Amino acid sequence: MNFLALAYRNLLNRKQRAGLTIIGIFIGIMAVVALISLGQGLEQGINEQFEEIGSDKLFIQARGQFAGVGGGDLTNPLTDDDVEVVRSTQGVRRATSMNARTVEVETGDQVNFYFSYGIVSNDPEQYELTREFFTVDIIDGRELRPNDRNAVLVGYDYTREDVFEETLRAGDRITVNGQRFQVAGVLDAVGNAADDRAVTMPQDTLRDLLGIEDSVYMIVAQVQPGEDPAIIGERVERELLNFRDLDEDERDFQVSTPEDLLASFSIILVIVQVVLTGIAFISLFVGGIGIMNTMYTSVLERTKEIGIMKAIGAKPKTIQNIFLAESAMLGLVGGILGLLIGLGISKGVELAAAAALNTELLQAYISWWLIIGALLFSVLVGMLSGYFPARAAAQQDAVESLRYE
Amino acid sequence: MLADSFAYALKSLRQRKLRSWLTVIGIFIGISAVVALISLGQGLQDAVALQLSGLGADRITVQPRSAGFGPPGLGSDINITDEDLEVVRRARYVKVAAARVLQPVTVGHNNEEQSAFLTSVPEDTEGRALIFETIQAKIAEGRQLRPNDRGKVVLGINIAEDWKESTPDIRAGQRILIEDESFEVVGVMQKGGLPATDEAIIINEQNAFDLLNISNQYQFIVAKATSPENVDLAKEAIAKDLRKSRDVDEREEDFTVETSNDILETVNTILGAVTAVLVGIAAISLIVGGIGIMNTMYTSVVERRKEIGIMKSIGATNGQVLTLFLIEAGMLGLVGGLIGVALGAGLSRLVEIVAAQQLGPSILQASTPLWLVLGALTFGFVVGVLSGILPARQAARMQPVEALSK
Repeated sequence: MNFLALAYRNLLNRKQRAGLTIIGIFIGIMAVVALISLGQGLEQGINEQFEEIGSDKLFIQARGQFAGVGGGDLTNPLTDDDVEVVRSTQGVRRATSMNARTVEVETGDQVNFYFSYGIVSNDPEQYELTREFFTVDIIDGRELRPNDRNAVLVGYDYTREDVFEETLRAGDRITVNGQRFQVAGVLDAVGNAADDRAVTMPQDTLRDLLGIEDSVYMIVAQVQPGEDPAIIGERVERELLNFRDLDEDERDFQVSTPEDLLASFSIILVIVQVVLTGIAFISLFVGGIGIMNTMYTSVLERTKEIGIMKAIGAKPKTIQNIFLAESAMLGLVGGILGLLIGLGISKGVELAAAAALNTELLQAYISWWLIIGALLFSVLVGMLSGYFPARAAAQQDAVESLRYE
Repeated sequence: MLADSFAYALKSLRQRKLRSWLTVIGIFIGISAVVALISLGQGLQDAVALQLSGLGADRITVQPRSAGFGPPGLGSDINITDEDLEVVRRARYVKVAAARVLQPVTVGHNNEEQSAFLTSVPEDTEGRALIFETIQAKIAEGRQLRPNDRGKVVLGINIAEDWKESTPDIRAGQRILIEDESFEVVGVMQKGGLPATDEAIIINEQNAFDLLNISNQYQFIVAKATSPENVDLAKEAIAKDLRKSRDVDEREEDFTVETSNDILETVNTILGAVTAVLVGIAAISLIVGGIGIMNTMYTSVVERRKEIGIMKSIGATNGQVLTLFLIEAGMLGLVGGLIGVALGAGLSRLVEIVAAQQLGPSILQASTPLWLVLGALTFGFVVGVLSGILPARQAARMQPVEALSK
């Protein structure tokens, strides 16, 4: 006997009820699919950003950065001497450093406080390395050049009229901490205000401007091709401990690889995803109860029918399968609709995020396992919810059922 | 008449016990999730408000503007000077003001080193009183810092105890190294003041200047308004006077003036947004539950076609039939709401207890105010009635002859 055809016909008989039950399931599937798809997309986007940076880099920062990116108030900051130590460590191909500080930025008659990054631009090799982890493209103007003194790169927000009354283009002037600079280039959008409003300038210029002697905020090293960054990282750590005359447990700096940074990001993302998806699952559960209710009603209404089937020799197993097929079909149809609409929603969020926040980080990620998983899961919800009603149908007494009015 | 309708609705729900219960379950799951999430969000807001009220509703903080997050004044190259303090002191509606140094330092103890915040207290009596009142410093051991103490400090509990296992805790009377200079610890503060206090070293102002080799530069000013009602006026007055003395106009301000209410508002905005997202997702299940009610009511209308036909043929109006079914649907929602509120409140309490056990006394607390209880009950009822409208209308519009003939 063809269970599926029978189930389909039975559902058509009660169109309205089947429709409402399916809506209950598809809303839940939709929410779960949209959240998972966006979560996966975000993870993917972050992964891509880290891939762009390259897995052969090491990042060294002083510990206890109380002021976040402020960096200037550390008791024992990293200095140019430490950069030299890292550079001469065996297995390190090249190394550079950068500074980061809050500065006063004046555009037109607006004064604001944003970050300024000081990068090494007078040494082509170091500049090249910097641009490997500082991957934002220049959309207007040019890169910093080795003999630039008073040239800066500005973030994307300086071109936005909704952020600055007086927008900037390459060649314009900008005042930082009272000193005039020329905008050499404008960087593409990163997606967060801190970076998109930052002013990037030669390291020496930033140091002169703020009276920083030889401290650096971060050292970036690239390992020799073929070397394991984790091993070189340990070696760098030993050399630095040695140079700074510290024991292992007095270490006041942190060497991290892109993988380390990625791992800490991922954990937060996974927790957020699990919480949100978990809450969305509640509605799937409620939808499942809806299926159960519909199936119980269906069993009740068809008591006589069941009696007749039994009377002409249908086995309990057969009856059970008829009803299970019906509830599985409810789940499946809800799953298909929910999947389509859920993916549509996440795509919509992606487009809205790109338009509103200028970020490509929030993407809808549609994987095969998500599609197949959502469909399988919706069938499973349908069958689980239908199990008790189907058993009730199967165990009905034939004689009693026939007498039912 | 209405009482009869209720009795009738209850009876017909009882006749289909299983279906009614399943429908109610669909509603109460959603309501309990929403109630639990709002309870926790509300509890979190209350806890934050309580912590901040320690700051005092009449307190105002002045600090340099900075692009970053973190403790006041750090990460910025702008300093606050005695001149600024004087301006703040003289501003209208300001009762008393004091400036503080706040700098990260390295502390040495038993050949181990760690980082801490050095925070100064002013030398003048009024300023001292204000600062000690603001940080709510209670001494656990030893004594509080006295005005003439030199080379002496009081430690936050985490600085005294947060060392390695092999390193004994610091007791009052012992000496420690701060930036390689030796200091006597005269007291250790209790836990539970402002969080920052636990990580702080308290030192007299002049002592801090000497140690750090600076003078006349602070990281922030704490001011107290003449009364809690005047705090916003005081804030305005301070900002205006500072703009004048620092010769900047409003858009070039290189400092920020904040009251504890401002901070509270920021925190509440963030917490509110997080709660809204979570509750929004949880509310989806309520829609699904509502659809369950609709389904049950449609089924009920179909099953009772004959009954409706009889009622109408003996004179029941459309309105009466409509009310009957709406009451039935509303009752499903209301019962779901009742169970949901009870479960949700219990659930949030459970989270609070588990969090307290796992994390120690935490700010994750449950708070189920009366408005939440009443709101959830009303909401459950409304969801029921709304979901019942279409089926009830179908029932009300039935033609008695047709209904009876089926």
